[in-house]
Amino acid sequence: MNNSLERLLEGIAMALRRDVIPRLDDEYATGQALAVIDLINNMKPRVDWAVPPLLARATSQRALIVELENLLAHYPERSQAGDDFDATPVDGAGLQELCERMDSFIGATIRWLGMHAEPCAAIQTAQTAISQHVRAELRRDMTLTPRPLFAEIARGNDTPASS
Amino acid sequence: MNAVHEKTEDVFGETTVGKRLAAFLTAQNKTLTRVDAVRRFTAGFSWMTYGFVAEWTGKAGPQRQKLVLRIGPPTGLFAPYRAAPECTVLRALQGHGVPVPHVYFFSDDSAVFGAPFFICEHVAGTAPLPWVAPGQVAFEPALRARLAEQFVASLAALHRFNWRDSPVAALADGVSPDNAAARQVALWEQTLRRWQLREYPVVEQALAWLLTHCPPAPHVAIIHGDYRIGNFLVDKAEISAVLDWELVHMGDPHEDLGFMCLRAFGGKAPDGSYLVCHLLTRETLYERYAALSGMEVRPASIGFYELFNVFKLLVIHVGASRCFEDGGFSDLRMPAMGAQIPRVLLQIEKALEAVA
Repeated sequence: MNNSLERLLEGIAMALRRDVIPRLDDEYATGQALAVIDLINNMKPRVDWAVPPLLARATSQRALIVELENLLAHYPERSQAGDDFDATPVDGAGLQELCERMDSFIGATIRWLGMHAEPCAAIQTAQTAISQHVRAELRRDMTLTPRPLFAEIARGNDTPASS
Repeated sequence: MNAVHEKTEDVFGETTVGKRLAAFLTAQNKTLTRVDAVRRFTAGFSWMTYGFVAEWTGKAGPQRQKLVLRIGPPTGLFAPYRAAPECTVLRALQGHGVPVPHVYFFSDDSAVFGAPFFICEHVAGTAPLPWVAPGQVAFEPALRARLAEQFVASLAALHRFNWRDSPVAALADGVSPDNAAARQVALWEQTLRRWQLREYPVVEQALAWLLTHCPPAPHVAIIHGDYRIGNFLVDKAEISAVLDWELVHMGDPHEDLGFMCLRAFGGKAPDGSYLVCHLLTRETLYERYAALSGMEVRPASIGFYELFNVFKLLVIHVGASRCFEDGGFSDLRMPAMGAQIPRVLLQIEKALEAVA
């Protein structure tokens, strides 16, 4: 997910209260919408991002970074990972933050490779390793991404898209 | 939620907008103008779009006209908005083979609605969407063939338009065949850096490739920037209007062609062949575009612009997430777009694999 959990929960409750409830003319439906807000408020202090997918991602990122450090050890001018990514938080928010920092490091390495794309075996191997990692991560992330409801959202009704 | 946001929502509510519309149109028409049936449309993720009916008494007696108001909200996806580029182009294109709505009023001043706006003709028709249920088709074959020809003809007319002798020339801003691609990549990279909440390695890979493979343009044309199914209206088996010109700019015609070709907007024909924008095969698109525009299509340039455009789509998704995260814009469609970023990243990876 690209937005913070806190902001998503706050935004969902806000949209229900401000955009949905005022347009409802059925008391039962209004009660249900208010119950959703109530539940969100109760969930907010208790929920976090799921740990297993983030842990799998962090493990894969860390393996790539170790490989890159070994492959590119002869380029000391490149920023080094050091022990920046050694600690593994146990909570979802901490893991999310770690994954984002590791993606930033990998991104910086890609930019560096783009500027130093000399035909050397280590650099080519590094680029291949990054591509393989990216491909695997994207496919893993897609398993967590359901089909979008853009058609229903754009039409403003819940019937499936049709010809 | 903060007070500024609450105020923003009220200002753009249908009741307030209706009152302001009536005052504005009364002043412009110099006669009392009633505004009725103000309704905000659900389609459109950027400009806020309202349909309404204006009634006034003119020299010819009582008048009644359906119109459209579009407002660029100060906290919206592409804020800060400007109506002038889009409206200048729409006015210039009237009568030149591109079906566009007539623009009656526009302003980048926030005095009237609290944000830039324009008021245009309400064009009849429905907008076919790119999302079709599995096993179904967007158009029956005869309609599809008819719309495909019109869609390509309209794009060819846009790219053939002699903008140098029109007010559109003021928007050119030094774009040349040699810098058109690089300027677009730089613009969208800057936008990404401004909006991104985190980095995506595949995007860095794509940018590294794009920055070093910019093709020269055959010529500089007006580029719609969002030319696809979903952004045109169909009425009585005709394309009645091409809409959503907010990304219009000057550039390489291949940019619009590459955008049309994105898998996100395409679909399958009953025989299993892939259809660009659910309308025509890639080969037919190239052939008909070349015949109608006089410009030979360069497949390598299309490949570049397919990658560039899916990168641009990613930036738009990132922007949607960002404007929601910052709290200025609480439209839940924004984080819903953000939730689909993995799908766009996968498209980037495939487009990169196709060209690299």
